[in-house]
Amino acid sequence: MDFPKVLRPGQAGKINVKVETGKSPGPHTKSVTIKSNDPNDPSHLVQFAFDVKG
Amino acid sequence: MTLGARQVRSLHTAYFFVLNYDAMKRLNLTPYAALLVLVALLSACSGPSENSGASNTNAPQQANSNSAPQPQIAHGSAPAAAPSPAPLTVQQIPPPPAPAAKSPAAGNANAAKASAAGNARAPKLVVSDKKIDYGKQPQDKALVRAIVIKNGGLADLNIESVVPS
Repeated sequence: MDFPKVLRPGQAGKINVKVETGKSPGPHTKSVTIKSNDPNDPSHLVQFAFDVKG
Repeated sequence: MTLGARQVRSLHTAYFFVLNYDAMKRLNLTPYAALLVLVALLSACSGPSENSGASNTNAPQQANSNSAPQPQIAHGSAPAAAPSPAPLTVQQIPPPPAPAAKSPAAGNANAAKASAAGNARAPKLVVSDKKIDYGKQPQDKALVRAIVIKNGGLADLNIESVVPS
């Protein structure tokens, strides 16, 4: 997973995330945890939800 | 049979020596008289209560109202032994004064202010999305998404890791 290591104040970046839906039908939720040196949010969670058709 | 004056006086003393102060004084019974007075006073003070005694023997099934716990109330200054029960006056007990110490909310507010002041130069991670909903998707499909992150603080933001979970 590619992500920028350091962001200067005011700088933006991108994290490319790839999610495989798989074979199991039904609703699914996966997540990615971004760990940083932010003292107020050192472990940020991003969720991905999808519903696999049967 | 007739009794002489001396015998009559002896009988009088024998039968009524408790109540005859002169006879007791002569027989040196003054300390015992004081004891009798004390015993009489004690027995009068520790007499039967209102709900006990022979008056309750005819109604043994009545529940004793004094056995139930009473709420904490303050009664007025009506005499307890009044012949007709005066209505009790219930006085509300005033609540205790508020403590002079600072409330926890105020303490938390001060802590938050101190934290904000301490983190004025800290980095801040800003993420574009918290939850991404792809909706209905087919099986075995790769979903690729770019998450935009930004440093909204005043110090360098170090991204240590990005871990799927």
